[in-house]
This record gives sequence, C-alpha cells and structure tokens, in this order.
Amino acid sequence: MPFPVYSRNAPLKEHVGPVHVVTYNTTGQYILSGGQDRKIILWNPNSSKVVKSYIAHGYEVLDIAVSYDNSKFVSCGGDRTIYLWDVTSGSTVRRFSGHMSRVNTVDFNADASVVASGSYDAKVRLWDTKSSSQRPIQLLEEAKDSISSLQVVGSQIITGSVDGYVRVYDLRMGQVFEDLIGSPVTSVKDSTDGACVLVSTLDSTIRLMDKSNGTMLQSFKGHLNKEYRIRSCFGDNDVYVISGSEDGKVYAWDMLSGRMVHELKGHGEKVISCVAYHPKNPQMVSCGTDGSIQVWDYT
Amino acid sequence: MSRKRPLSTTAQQALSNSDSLFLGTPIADADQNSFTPVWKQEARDERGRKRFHGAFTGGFSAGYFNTVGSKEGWTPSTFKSSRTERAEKKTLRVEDFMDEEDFADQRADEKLVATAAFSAIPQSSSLKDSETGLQEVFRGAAPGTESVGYELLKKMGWKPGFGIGPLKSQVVAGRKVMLPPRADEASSFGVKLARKTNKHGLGYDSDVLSIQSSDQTESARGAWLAPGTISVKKNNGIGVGVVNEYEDGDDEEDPYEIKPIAYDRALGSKKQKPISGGSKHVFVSKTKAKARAAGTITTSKLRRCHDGRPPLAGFVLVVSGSLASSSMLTNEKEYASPSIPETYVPGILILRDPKTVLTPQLIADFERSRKSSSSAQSSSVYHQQRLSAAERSRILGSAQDHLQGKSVFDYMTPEQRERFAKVTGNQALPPAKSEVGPERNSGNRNEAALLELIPTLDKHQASTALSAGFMPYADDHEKRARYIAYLESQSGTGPVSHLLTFMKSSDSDTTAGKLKVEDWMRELKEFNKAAGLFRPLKGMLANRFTSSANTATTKTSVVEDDSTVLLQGASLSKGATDREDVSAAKLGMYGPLTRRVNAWAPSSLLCKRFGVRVPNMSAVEVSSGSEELKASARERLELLSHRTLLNIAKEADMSEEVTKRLESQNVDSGDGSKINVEVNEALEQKKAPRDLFLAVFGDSDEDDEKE
Repeated sequence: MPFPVYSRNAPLKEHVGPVHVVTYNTTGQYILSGGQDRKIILWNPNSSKVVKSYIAHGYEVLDIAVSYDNSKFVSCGGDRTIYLWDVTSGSTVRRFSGHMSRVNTVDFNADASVVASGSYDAKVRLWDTKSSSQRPIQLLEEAKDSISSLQVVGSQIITGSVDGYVRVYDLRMGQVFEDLIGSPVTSVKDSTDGACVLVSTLDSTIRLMDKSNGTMLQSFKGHLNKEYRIRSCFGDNDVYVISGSEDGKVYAWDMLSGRMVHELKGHGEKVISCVAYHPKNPQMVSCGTDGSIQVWDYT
Repeated sequence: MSRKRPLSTTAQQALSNSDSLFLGTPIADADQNSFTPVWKQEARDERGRKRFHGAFTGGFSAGYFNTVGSKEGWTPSTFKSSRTERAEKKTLRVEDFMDEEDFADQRADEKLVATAAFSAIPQSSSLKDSETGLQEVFRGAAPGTESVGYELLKKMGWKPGFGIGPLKSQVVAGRKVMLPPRADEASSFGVKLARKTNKHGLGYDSDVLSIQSSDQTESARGAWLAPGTISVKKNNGIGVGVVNEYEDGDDEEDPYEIKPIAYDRALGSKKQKPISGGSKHVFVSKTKAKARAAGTITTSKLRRCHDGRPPLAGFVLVVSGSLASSSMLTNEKEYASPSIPETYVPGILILRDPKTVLTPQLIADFERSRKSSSSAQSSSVYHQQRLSAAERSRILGSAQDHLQGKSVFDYMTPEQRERFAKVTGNQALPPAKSEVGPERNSGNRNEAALLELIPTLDKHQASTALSAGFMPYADDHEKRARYIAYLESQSGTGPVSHLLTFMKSSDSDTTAGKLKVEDWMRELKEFNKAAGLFRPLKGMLANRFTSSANTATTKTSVVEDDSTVLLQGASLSKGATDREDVSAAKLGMYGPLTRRVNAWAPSSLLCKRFGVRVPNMSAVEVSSGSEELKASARERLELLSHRTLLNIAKEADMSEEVTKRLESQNVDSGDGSKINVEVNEALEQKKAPRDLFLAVFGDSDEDDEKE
C-alpha cells in the first residue's frame, strides 16, 4: 500500500503546548491526543473535528492507551496517577496511584483487565481494573532507570528503560528476557507477528531486535534522536518503520532493507515526539512539541 | 391541714349509699387518711427481711444484708468460753450455706421415686430361680411382706399362679371354660419382659408381615386394616354389638386389640383388587407373553402399577432389568467402541523439551524404537516409558511387590477356608493354597530390618562430604572412623553391612567399642545430619572466603598473566563487570552476550487476568553470561544479593529447606501487593534444624565474656 505522504488537512492546533502522545483507537476512526496542557482530546482525523475533551490531569499527559473495545482508555502523566476513562461519558472511572514519580507510559492488556504503567521511578506497576484494590497486582523492579516505554502484547510485557535494556516479561514461561541495547531506550513496539521488537534509542538509531534470541535484525538510521523521547512505530502491516525526529521531520524506512524511503516535513523545526499509524488504512498521524497534530494521507 | 372529707366517711359507708354506683374494690385501709413519710415506709419481703438496703439508701452495706450468714459473720468473733460463761454452741443452719437460688436448685433436683415396696421394677435385675418373667415383677418387696403391686392384684381378683392377660377359653371336663392364662405361658402382653438387645422400636413384632413378603399380604389383605385401628366387623348391621366375642367363637379376635402397624398398607387401599400375581393361572396370549418378555407391557391388564391403578398419563410401565428399560429410559444410543488396529502397541512419547517440533521424522523414529525394543529407552529428544505396573513397583521399591497378585487365600489352609465359607455362608471363595509367606527366617530379618533403618544420604552429598577437607569428631577417632564408614556406605564406596559391625549383635555382647542398637541408630542419624553440614565450599561461596593456604596461589596467578590480571582485576572492581555485554552491544554484536534470561514469577492474579497458567517456576531455566565472575549492577550494591545467595545455595547443595526458604523470599519481594491475612509466613515457616540452632546458639567451649 502506498505510504501516506500528504498532509491534506491543516494541522490540528487544539493543544496548547507540546503534544506528547497521539494514538488511534482500535478501528482507526478516532484519535486521542494528550499534551502538556493536561488535556486529552478525542477527535476525528478525517474531519479534523474535536469530538470530546477530557480534562482531569493535574500535570501533563504523557501516554494514552485505548482498550480493545474502544470503550475505555487509560492515560498517565506527570501527576503520578493513572486515569481510567470511560470514552462516552468522559468521566474518570478509576484512578491508580502508587508511582513515586511521573508515569511515562501506560498500556492495557488484551481484555483490558490489567493496566501496566511504567514510570520515571524505574518501576512497572500492573494494576487490576476488575477489582477495586488500591495496590498493584505486581511490581516489576528489574529496571535500574526510568521506564520510558512499554507495551503489553498477549502474555508478554515489553518494557524499555533508560538503563539501556529492553525487558520482555513472559508470563507463560515465567521468565524475563533482558536485552542490552547499549543506549537509553525511548520506545518499544512489538511487531505484528510478535517475533521482533522495534527499539528506539538515544543514539539516533532504531533497531529491530529478535525476541527469541536477542539478535539485531535491522537498524534504521538517519533521524535525530539524542535528547527527547521519540516514539517509533510500524506502518502498513510492518512494511514500514516510521519515527519522529528532533529535526521536525517524520522518517519512514523500509523494514526489510533498512533503507530510508520517506522524509516528511511537518512540524516546523520542532521535535516530533510521537507517530501513530492507522490500524487498517494508509494513514498516519504525528504530533510534536509545537502543539500541532498532523494527519497524513496517501492522497 | 384541714381535711375536707368528714372523718366518719369510710368505704363501707360509701358503699351502702345505694344511690351511687361504685366500681372496683375500694382500698380497705383501716385508716385511709393516715400518712407516713417516705422514710418511715419500710419495704419488707415475705419473710420480714428488709428490702432496699444499703446501696439504695446511700449507705455502705453492699453485700452485708440478706446474704448468707449473719450480721455477726462480718465482724470477727472472738471466741470466749470460761467455766462460768460457756460459749454458745454455734448451731449452723442450712440457711447459712444455701441461699434462695441454691434452695431452688435443690427443689428442682428432687425426684419422686417409688420405694421398694411400691416399685414395679425389681431392684435386682436377675431372675431368681423358678420364677417366670411375670412372677419376677411381683416378687415381694421385703421378706415377709408382699409388694404393693402384688397386693393390689390380689384385691382385683388375681390369684398367684395365674398369668396376666385376657381370659382364654380352655376345655375342662369337656366344656369350654374361660380361664385366666397360666403363669408360665408366654406373656400375651405386647411387651416382652426379656432384655431388649435389638434396635427395633418397642412393640415391634417381627412376626408382622413386612414389605418384602408382598405376596402374602395379598391374601391377608382383607384381614389387615390401616395401622393402629380397632378392627370392626364388616357386617355393620344395626343391633350388632361391638363386643361379640362369645358368639361365633372367634375368640382370638379381641375387638379392642390394637393391631401392630402393617407397613405395607397404604391409605385407601381397601378398595383395591389384588393384582393377579403368580398365584393365579391365567391364560396369557402369545403376544402378551412376548410383550412381557420384551419388558414393555402394553395390554390393559398389565398396564397397571402394583397397587392396581394405571400409571400416570404419559408414562409407560416397563419391567426393570429388561432390554426396554435400559434403552427406553435413557436416550443414549449405544455405539461400538473403536476398533484398535492389530499392530497397535501402547506407548507414550514424552518430549524432553516441549519446544521441539514434532516432525514426522521424529514420530517415525519413536515408532521404530518402540517396536524394536521392549525396555524403557531414552534418547536425547524423547524418552519412552513402557513400564507395567509390576515394573513400576519394582523401580519404586515398593515393599508389596512380592505380594503382587496374591490374595489372602493363597496363604490359608483348606480347613481355614472351609471355616470362612461356613461362617460367611459364601461358598464362592477362592481356593486355599497353603503357601508360606516370603519372610520366614527371623535371623536375617532382624538384620535386614536394621539395614533398612539406616538413614540414607544422597550419593552425591555423601561423596562431597567425604572429600571435604574437614572431618568432624576430631576428638573421637573411633567415631570419626564410623562416620567415614557411613559416608562410604552411602556414597557407594563401602559396604553397608560394614556398619552393622559397629553394633552389638545382642545384649550380651560386651565387646569394647561396639554400640548398643539404640545408640548406633542415634549415631547414624547424627552422621546423616553432619554430612549435610560439613562439606567443602564450592563455587560462589568459595569466592567469598579464602583460606590461608590459597593466598599464595592467587598471588602467583596475578603475576603470571597479564590477561588474567585484567580479568581478575575486572571481576573485583566495581564498574567493569558488564564489560562483556556492554562492549558487545557497542560493537553491535547483539545476541547471547547481550541477552540475559532470568526467572520471573508472575503473580497468580496476574496470570489469571491474562488468562495464562501460572508457570512452574522450578522448571524455569535461567541463563546469563559467565556465572561466577559476572555480577549485575544491583548485586554490586548489595553485600550479598539475593540472587547470589540463591545461586550459592543451589551450588553448594544446601539443604532443601534453606533453598526453598530463600526462593520463597524472592518470590514474595516481587509481589508486594498480595497480603494474605490468614497466613503469616514469618511465623509459619519451619524452624531450622536443631543442629543449625545448636551450631549458632549452642554452648561454646571457650569462655564467652571475660570482662
């Protein structure tokens, strides 16, 4: 499928201040974005219209994850709390607190019964949404430094930490696989087939690591990532690897060859902190520190 | 105060005034107008004692009045008695010891019992000779006197020698005469005076027809009526009296007799006609016979339940046990079991590593090996087991293997078997083979039993204990020799029977240096425990300790090789233990060098939420770079990290308790959220073995504190 390279619509500038995270829901109909202004906005990418605003955080919103049925989403941020929202009513269903510093990343498990959150305090807490317990089900303390990114895939929890390790916790096997990447990890993303992990690190490199033995399958360079958390993702059913950059461009590589195929200018010269690809269609969205969110289409 | 009412008016006078009606009873006070102040009004109970004493008036007399004892009881009495003035004898009354409640209790416990003269049941339960059951009852109460019951009966016309019961007709001198029953006859009471040893209810008569013999009840149906009723003659003609016993000579029927309960009757069953059972010979047509044989009864006559009524609508009577009953009552169809090919040999393919892919090649391999040999083989990929129960029991060393397949009757003589058959009434017992049991020689048995009692030690453990540089019992060489012999026997380098030589063969054996049996056993157990403690340091633990002998060697090794210096220096210094994987990562050589696999136990709730089974943590493999020298950043910070401890424990083959305890601690630390209120692990863990306690806290030989 063709790569979405055209920024047809004007960027959405609802947020005031940097936008830290943007994500599609599971069908791709909506986008949720969260930023420094403590707001979470739900909006329709095709019409560029704001559907709903969720305001509850006391500090900036750093990550959002949507449940499998699109009825709930969870957000985390600088106020050390994780908020579980109901999409339609717009109210907070639950609040999980326990982290000792800002919560950098959050994700649901497959049936949205567990929320995993990773924080600057180097711990990953696993919360139970089904009970009303105030304490996490389990605490993952293996990391030595801030958890920058995590993802729950099936029965595995993949975490990336500033200590340079990517840790895959396998519940079925009862094991944790720690892979040293070398430099601080800013983003982890599981591939669709579950065989590899896309790891972005602060040495301006994105690596595709094999989960089974820890070898590196491919590396992607060309972008700039030295200071900020830049997120990367797969595109078009793992054909492309897409990442933001600190130089204001969105980069796309061919996954198999590692060759850079696209360089898209979008957000001025500002850092593009997060990119997300549509679950089905050739569309993607990127957000940056200039406060704008850009939707990219293929026509 | 002026009184408004005239003094002369009293209640009676008021009543006598007939023009006004008075309701109720007037207060019959002698002086209605008397007035006593409250403090003069005294409350007394029925015995004249004061009520509302002490606490009520604000006085300090709690427990003083109206208690057991007297006023004098509270003040100590000085006993004074002289020749002129004698002291009173203190007569104590019951009231001094018992109060109202006690009296009430006593009254409640009183029972009315008949005295000997009046008691119906004789005091001694044994029958005196030449007494029938009845006469026992009327035995005289005291010699010379008669029991009261006796006298009462005589008053009523009874003569000694007769029994009790209704008059019976007897033929005397050719005539029927009503005579009272004879004393020695069986009592016609409902209640027998024999001692009751059964569990039936009182009045139960086993002669009464029970449910089982339903055929008999049919014929007697007309005679039996509903339980507990008085039989009434059928001809309810007017003028027929109830008591007609003398008319038709059916003297046996006592109209007031209460028949015993017939359990086979149902209410309203009088009108039923008995079903033609086997007693009547009825022509049964062929079709009916066939239907009956098949089990389904379709004809109208047979379509009735045993009480004569047809079954409920929609139900069909089916004879139990027939084909129809099994197939009709259940909707299941019967399917034939699958046919097993002739060449099938049962076998189980167990893979060593669950991750191996089951290729057709592998399966063919397995099939081939299975068919070729019959014993249990093992290969690197799979191992097969084709053990029978007998083989398994042999491998497990179960004591019963020599008793496999034998029954008690094998050891019995035919006479014993006959006795069994007679007693149980069951002739179908297995035949008796008078076999002899396996263990017959008592001499060897003792030895064999003793050998069995020797505590076993793991072979590996025993050999490591043997190779330890330090042997205990330095002061007792003989004991040390025995210890070494024990270790050798357990590690396989020495015979076990040698241990028996240390033991006195019998109580009369007085050889020096030999131990009595109990001491010997105790010593062996001690050796067993000691073997666990005195072992050489290995692995990681060895790294932590150096003995004086080793320092020389380390010096030389440092000087010898630059690379080893580097390596050793690297291992000891703080920042460089990760060099291997860090450098590998720097070079881009991602793979086994950069990868670490550790065990991580997900909590059970987490597994439940994710829908996966809790992994078996003991089967989890752990791999890391180089075990001993490499220490992770966290371990650098701890003096002895938990993981190191665990590894040390595992390597040093420490007792299972210790490793288990360490492991359990590990699991709990990662799972800080679960708090089980009912279990407190800190309190419930097993105590360390006594030897450990003694070693740590036991008495030491030298003086502890000299200061």
